[in-house]
Amino acid sequence: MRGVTAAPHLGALAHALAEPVVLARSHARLLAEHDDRPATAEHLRALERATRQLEVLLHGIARLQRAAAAPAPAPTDLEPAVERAREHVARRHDGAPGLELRRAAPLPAVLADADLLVLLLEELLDNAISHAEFGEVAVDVRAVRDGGDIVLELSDDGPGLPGPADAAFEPFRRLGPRARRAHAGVGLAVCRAIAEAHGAGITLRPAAGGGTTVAVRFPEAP
Amino acid sequence: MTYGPPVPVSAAPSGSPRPRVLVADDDPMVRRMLRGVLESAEMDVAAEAASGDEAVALTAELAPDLALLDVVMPGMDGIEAARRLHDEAPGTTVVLLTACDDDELGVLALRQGAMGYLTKDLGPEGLPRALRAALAGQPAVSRRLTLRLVEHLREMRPDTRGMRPVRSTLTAREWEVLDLLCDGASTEELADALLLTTETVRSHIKATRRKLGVRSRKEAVEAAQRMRDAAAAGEAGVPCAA
Repeated sequence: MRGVTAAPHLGALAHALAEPVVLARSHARLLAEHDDRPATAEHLRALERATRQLEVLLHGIARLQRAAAAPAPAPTDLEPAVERAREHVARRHDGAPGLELRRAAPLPAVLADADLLVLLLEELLDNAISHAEFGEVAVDVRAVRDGGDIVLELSDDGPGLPGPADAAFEPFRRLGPRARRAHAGVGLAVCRAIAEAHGAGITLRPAAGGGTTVAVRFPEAP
Repeated sequence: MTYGPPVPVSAAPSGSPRPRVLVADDDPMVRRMLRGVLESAEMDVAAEAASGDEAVALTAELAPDLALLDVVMPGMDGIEAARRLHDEAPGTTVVLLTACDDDELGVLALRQGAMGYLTKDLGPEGLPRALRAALAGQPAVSRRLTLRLVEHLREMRPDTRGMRPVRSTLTAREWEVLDLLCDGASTEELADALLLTTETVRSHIKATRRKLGVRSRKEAVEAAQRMRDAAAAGEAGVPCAA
């Protein structure tokens, strides 16, 4: 499925397909207000679920496509990027994402596209949250200097990788018992696409305390 | 596509502050592009949101003059966000952005409280101009969509029955009940027409009376007529015919 990120018109197509889906769901919602018979309400809820699912997949395609956009790398501070990603994720989860973000030391700057970097961090945090076992996950963020590169590492205390690390980067392959239909299963594929567009590598490995560590290698900002 | 009537691009009248705009789109590249277009047209981007939920939360926090929403966003879509903002942030003008320029979606967006429905290919001059028009109280819609709206109006019944004030605490169902009460229907006739039990009809009537602050069905009918007269006289009212 890596071809998804290579087809330039797919993102626009997914977006265009999502508009009539929004139209259908809006009408289902309006209809629910006009007709409160239990059977109708049940059918409308099913319609709502189906349109949501379709939309999640279409958004998944659009996210993958977006991740492959040509980056405009510039020296970018990791601290505010992590903070912005945390805020976005918290807002998506109504302010209660069940996420504890820990930083032992201040983070440096890297050479990256600021918007895509935030997008990458959001996907990583969302991924940690969606696999959390008891609705709570702690993520340690640190940066390690290695040669001229900065290796950004995020370690979570989640259930760990259920299968081979390579498979986790494949889009639309939902791994693990916690994978829900609310997710298209493209999060890590999006991360890999953003990393690769920056000439950065991304790897997954079991974390020391159980969970998973994801490492992204960026060139250090001059 | 042409948008009219033209409004001077010459930005804000001297002395008046730059309009503050919230930009909501899940694509950061689109947000970046919109930010550039708005800022070079002397408008401030007060905040960026990546979803409808974020747009609603940030609008409550920052009270921007205008919220520019993409129709398609994860979680809460633009249409639902427009409706929420219309109810919860009356001081913020809402404009939807579309990739497809679908008339049905446009009519729906306007019904849900948007002041404009614009296509993404409007260009760096057209977009700020249309947004300033919306801020000045002129609906920012294409000529084609305007034609669709006129057709909608023509399809409506000549009396004002079917007009609903935009800001109403009554649910759509309660308006249906009220419409039928205005026609002089009895509880049993209402139940037949709406496929409800008489018990449910009575509870809808009770809720409607309570919300309108009236004591009888007759007073409810009179209150409905007053609201419709006001709507017909040009206050915020929309046709309910879909």
